[in-house]
Amino acid sequence: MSKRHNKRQSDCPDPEDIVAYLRNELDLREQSRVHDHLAGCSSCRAVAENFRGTIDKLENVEEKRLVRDLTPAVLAQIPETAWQQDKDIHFTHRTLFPILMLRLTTCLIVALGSAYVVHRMWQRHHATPPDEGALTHTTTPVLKQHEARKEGLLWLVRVQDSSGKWDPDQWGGRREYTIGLTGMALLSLARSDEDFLKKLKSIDQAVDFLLSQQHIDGRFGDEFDGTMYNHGIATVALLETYGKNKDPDLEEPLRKALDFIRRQQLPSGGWGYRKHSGEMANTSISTWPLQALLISAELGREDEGHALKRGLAWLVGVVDERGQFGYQQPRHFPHGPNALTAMGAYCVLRASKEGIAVDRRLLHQVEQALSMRPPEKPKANFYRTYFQVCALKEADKKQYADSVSDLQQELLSKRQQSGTNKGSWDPQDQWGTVGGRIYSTAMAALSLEGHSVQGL
Amino acid sequence: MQIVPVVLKDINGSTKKMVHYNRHSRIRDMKNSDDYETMPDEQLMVLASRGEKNAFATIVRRHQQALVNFFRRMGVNNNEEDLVQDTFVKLFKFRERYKPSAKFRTFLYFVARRIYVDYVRRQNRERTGAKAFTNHLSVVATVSDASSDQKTRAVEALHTLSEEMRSVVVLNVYQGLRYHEIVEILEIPLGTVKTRMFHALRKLRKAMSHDVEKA
Repeated sequence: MSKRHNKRQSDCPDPEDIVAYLRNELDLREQSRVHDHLAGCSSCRAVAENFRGTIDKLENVEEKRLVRDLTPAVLAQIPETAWQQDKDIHFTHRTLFPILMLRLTTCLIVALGSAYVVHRMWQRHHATPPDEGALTHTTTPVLKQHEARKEGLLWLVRVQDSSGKWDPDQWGGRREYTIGLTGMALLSLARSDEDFLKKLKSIDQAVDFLLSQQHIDGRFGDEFDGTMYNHGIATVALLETYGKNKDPDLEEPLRKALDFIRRQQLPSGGWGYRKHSGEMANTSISTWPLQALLISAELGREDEGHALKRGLAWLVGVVDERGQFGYQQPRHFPHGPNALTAMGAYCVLRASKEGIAVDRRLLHQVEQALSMRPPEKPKANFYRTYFQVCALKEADKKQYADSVSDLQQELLSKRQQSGTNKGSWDPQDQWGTVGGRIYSTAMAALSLEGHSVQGL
Repeated sequence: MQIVPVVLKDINGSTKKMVHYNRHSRIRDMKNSDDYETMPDEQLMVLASRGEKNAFATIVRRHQQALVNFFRRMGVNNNEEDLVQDTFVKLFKFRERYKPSAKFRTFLYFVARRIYVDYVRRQNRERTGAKAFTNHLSVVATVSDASSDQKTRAVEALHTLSEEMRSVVVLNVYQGLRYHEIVEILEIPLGTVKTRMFHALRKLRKAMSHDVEKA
C-alpha cells in the first residue's frame, strides 16, 4: 500500500486519505476528489474495497447488553449535599448577583438620566438657531426598504386563510404547492422581527397548518414530483420558527421531517425529484433539504448518517472552475447559471460559517462567480434575487453591500404601491404561474430582510 | 405533547393517515422527567451542574450502554459496569470543567478513557510492576484458529492491536466519534489519528485473515 506501488498513479490519494474518505473525515473538496478518483482508478478502488470490507466485519460485532440500570448505583456514590450545594451556588450566581447588578444599574441609569435632563435644560437655555443651509442626512432608502418589507408582510398576513395556509388558487399559483408556499410565507414572517407580528396568531396558525399536513413518515404534503420542494421549504420554515421560539412541540415533527430528508437522499449525496433508481440529483431540489440540515446543525443537532456532509460534498461536485454551480453536473445550465450559483453559494457559504470545512479556493471562486455582474440586465426572478441576497450577506463582506443594495432597490421598484394588493409584488417572473403572488411577495419580503452586511 | 395518529382529509379532499399534534395540551414543567428525555446532552449537563439530579440521571441512562461496550471493546472483561459507574462519578466531579459549547460526548469519552488508563495501570501494578504497564498496553490477545465465528474473530482481532491503535478504532468505528473529537479525547494531532486508523485497519485485516500472535 505504499506510494511506491508500481500500479499507483501519481495523482492517487494517500491510503490514509482513502481510509479517511471511507470514514467521511475529509473536507468537502477532498471527499469529492477522492470519490471521483476512485471512480476511475481500479487500484485505489481495490484498496478502498479492502478497507471497507474490514470495517464492515468490525461493525458486525455483538454488544454486551446491560442487565441492570446503573443509575441508582451511580447516584448512590454522589453525596446528596453535592446537589444542594450546586443549587445554592447556582442561586447565588443566577439570582443574588443579578439582583445586585440590577440595583446598581438602576442607580446608574437614574444618575445618567438626571444628568441628561440637566444638560438638555442648559442647552435649551443657551440654544442657537440651526443653520438653514446645512445638509440633512436621511435614511430614506433604508426606511423605504423597511416599510416595503413591512407592507409585504402585512399583505401576507391579510390574505392568510383561516386554516393557517396561504391558498395558491386565489393568488395565481398551483394548488399542489400549497405546502411550499405556506412555508415560504411562514419563513418570511418567522424571520422578521416586526413587533406587530408578535401580537398576531399568523405564525402559530401557519405552523399548525403545516403540522396538520405531516404524514406518519415525516413528509409534509402529498407525494408528487415537487414533494421535496414542499417538504424542504416547510421544514426550513419550521426550523427557523423553532430557532426563534424553541417551542418543544416542534421537536418531534422536526425530527421526523429531517429523518424524511435523510431517507430521500440519493446515493450520490444530493436530492432529486423522486427517490428511485436512475434519478439524478439536482441543485434546485437539493438546496432546500441542505438548508434544513444546515439549520439543524446550527441548532446543535447531530448530522446523522453524515447526510449534511454528503449533501455538501455532492454540491461542491457540481461547481466548475469559474465557481458556478451546475444543475446536475458542472457547466450544466438548463436555465442559466445565476440562480443555481446563488442557491449553491448560499449553502456552501453558510456551511463554511457553521464551521464545516470547505476548500478555501472553492469559496473564493464561488464568491467571484456570485459577485459577477452579467453583461445585460437579467429578467426579474424573485427566487434568484432571494438567493443572491442571502448568499452575498452570508459572504458578509463590505464590497458586497452595494450589490445587495442594488438587488433590493430593484425589488422596491416593482412593488405594488396602491390598490387592493398594495404592499405585494406582481408574480412577473418565470415561476410566477407556479407560485403566484404569495411566492413573489414572500420572496421579495425575505430579500428585503435587514440583517446587515458589515454594518450596512 | 399528545401525538395521535388520525385519518384526515387533505387539501384535495382525499383521506390519508396523518399525525395529529395537540400542541396546546402540553404541560410545561421543566422538572418533568419526560422533558429531560428530549433534551440534548449539553443542556442536561448544564442542569446537572446546577444541582438537577434528574438531569444527571438521564445522562447516565442515555450513555451507560454505550460505555459498557466501549470498555468491553477496549479489552476489559467482567469489570465493565464498575468502570462505567466510575466514569459517571468522575464526570460529575468534573462538571465544573465542562463548557456547554463543547460536545458532551467528547467530554464523556475523554473521562472514560482516563478511567480505562487508570484501570490498566492498577491492574498491572497488582500483577508485576511498572514495566508491565507498557507491555500490557501493547500485548493483547491472540486470534486463535478455533474462533471460526466471524464476530468473535473481529473482537479478538481488535485485541491484537496496541492500546493507541485500538482506542482510535473503538472511538471512531463503535462509539461514532469523529477524528477531530478523537484528537481532543486522546490529545494527539489529527495526522496521528489518521495514521493510527490506517495502520490499525491494515493489522485488523491481516489478523482476521490469518492467525496472529503478538507479544
